[in-house]
Amino acid sequence: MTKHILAVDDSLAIRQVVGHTLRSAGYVVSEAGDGEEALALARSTRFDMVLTDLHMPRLDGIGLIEGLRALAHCREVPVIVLTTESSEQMRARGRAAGATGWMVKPFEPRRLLEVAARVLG
Amino acid sequence: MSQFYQVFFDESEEHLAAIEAILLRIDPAAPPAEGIAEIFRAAHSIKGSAATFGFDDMATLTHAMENLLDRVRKGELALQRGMVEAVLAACDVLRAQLDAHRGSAGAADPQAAAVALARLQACGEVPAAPPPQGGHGDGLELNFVLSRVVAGSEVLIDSLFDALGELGEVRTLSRPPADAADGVWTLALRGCAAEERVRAALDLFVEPGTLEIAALAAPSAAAAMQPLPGEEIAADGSYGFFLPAPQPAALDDVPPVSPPASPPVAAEEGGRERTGTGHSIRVGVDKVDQMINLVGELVITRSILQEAANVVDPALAERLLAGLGLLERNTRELQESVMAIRMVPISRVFSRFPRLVRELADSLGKEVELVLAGEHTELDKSVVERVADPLTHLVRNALDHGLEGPQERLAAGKAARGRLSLSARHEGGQIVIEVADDGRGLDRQRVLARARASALPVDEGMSDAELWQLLFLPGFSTAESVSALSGRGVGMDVVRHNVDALGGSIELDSVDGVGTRVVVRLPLTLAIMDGMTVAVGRETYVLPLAQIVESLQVDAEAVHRIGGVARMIRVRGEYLPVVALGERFAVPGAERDWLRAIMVLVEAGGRRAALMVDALLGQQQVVIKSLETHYRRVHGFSAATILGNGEVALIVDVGALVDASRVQAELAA
Repeated sequence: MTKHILAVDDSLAIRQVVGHTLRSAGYVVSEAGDGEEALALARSTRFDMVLTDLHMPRLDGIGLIEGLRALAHCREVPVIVLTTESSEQMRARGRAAGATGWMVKPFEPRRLLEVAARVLG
Repeated sequence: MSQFYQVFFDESEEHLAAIEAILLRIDPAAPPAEGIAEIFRAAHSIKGSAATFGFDDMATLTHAMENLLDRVRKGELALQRGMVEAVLAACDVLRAQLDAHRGSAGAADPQAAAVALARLQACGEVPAAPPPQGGHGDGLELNFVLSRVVAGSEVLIDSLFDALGELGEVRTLSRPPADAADGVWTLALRGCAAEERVRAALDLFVEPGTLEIAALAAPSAAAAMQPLPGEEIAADGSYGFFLPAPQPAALDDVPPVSPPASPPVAAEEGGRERTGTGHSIRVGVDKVDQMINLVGELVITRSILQEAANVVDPALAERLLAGLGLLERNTRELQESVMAIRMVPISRVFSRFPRLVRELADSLGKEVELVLAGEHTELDKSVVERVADPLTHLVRNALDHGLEGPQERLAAGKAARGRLSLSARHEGGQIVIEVADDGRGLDRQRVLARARASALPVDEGMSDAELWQLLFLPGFSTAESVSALSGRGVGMDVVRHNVDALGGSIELDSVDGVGTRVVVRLPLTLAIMDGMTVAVGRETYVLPLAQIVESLQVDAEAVHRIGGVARMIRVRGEYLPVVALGERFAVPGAERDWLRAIMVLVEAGGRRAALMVDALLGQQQVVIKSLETHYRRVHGFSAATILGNGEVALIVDVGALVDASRVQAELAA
């Protein structure tokens, strides 16, 4: 079955690149511009993976992960944090919130597909 | 990836504008936390996208900006005016870099980028005792030889590690073999320890004079990254998973989507989402233009139908006419909605002025308070874009020539601080923009003197309004010296020309010692215009309604002859040159008798003339079709349109005709 990925970033440009990369590899990609929009989508859709930015207006990436983990059908969904800072502190925060992994921006499309393949099998 | 560049450019531009808008509002003494967070996010967003698209110059600069703002956000640094300036300067450089990447400008100046970067970094170094980062990595490399006593004792070596351990994380890079007491130790110390403290800690242990401290070479991303317990990091450090790594098989056990626990709540939240700011779409201007074009065609089609229906017996065509009435209303509403898409607030232009005024005032040593009003007044995007230059010129003029320095103001009994106001409002289908200052105003005598020096026909009895019109003539300026700011050879004549080209008008009003006010009137849109259709022979022309003052028939007494030839008409004491459209455009069968023709008084660029036509046909809204696009430029006409009967009619370029008539009248006189 085709895997459905949710890409969350307040930058349309980044969403387009992420979306384009994943779509060209055959994934279905939905997009959201911030954490709240992402949560609203996640309430009615079961995604196979969520890729999220950290700094976003309204609801940031950490808040989104916490929100997702509070939804019954999203408790197990893999969440990869796309971040420009891979400091220990940032990663620890992501893990504490319940992230599955992280990936640094800028990323090579090849790496993104690697991550997706690892997560989605 | 280049297909996504445009979005990146647009987004970055919006972010830069947002950063500037916030910074210019901000009071450094009490910065709003939300504002700082917003700037940080904007910088962060540009950085992430720029890095993704490989625009490293922008990524570097925004990274420094982000670092600085992050510290302000966290309260580690207090916001200072210098920082605001540094970030604003960086914004300028970013904009230049953006233009360069976009290809609309030459390569950005790397020197300017380096300066902006250094300024941002310097702001971050304000607090005392910054950690000795050495620029590479965040650690120190220690090389030393142990003193003989220490080298022989594992206990003492342990306490050395303990002492260093208090300063940061210690790692042994190399140590001499156990039997070589005078061998060199190399340790890596990570953390923020100051060099002095490291020296003090090691003082007891090392052979004097052998300690060397250097910045740790920049480690590779993967090597620098210490995995968290249970974390797996990719070989190149580009991603990582918190173990246990997800098992795809396990995912299939997750039950399918269950409906939200409480649908009413979810629905309510959905409703709230829709009212949020996120619900807009980005559409290319060309698509909107295409819609406007089609609506224009629809307006024309409707007029054609209306004309056709007019010849049918109303009793027979009652339902047809009722339908046409409805069509007219719907078309009008559709037209308004489509036009509304292109409407943008004038704040797009106004927002550049706080900064411009501040910088200009600083460089001129003047104190100026800028007052903006009506920033939310909307007008067509194309008009907004083209009004920026003339407005900038007017604002510069006001600062440069209008407003006095603090000393001169105090001496004149005014407040030291000058006032410049910029306002916009809608008025009768037009937008009215006013640029007013409370400066020294125009000096009548100086304008008169300057006019005489330029051999212009002036006399003492001229009204102020007439006199001020001279300022709009090419090359006329009353500034004593050409200022570096407003000079540059662009004068009020260019401003008037720009405004005229937009189908607008400009007026200047000034009182000596009290101030100057310039009023610019512009159409809300360039796509549609209210026109007066006139007949000349068998031709139909359109005159822009906004430029028509009145229409009248003259009697023999009002016709002024020079050398036996009718040249001008006198209307209420004013002599006006006459342009007979039939002659001007060589229309056969046009009315030649001035007493039988209709004189349409028009005004352009503050000057009047009478256009002679055969008859007035009516008023109607016309859709403007560019002549340059569809045919070629034709002197005397500004554009074309299609009338209700399907015929093409030319729109008269009133400005050009008025100018030409003045020249002819002066030659004749």
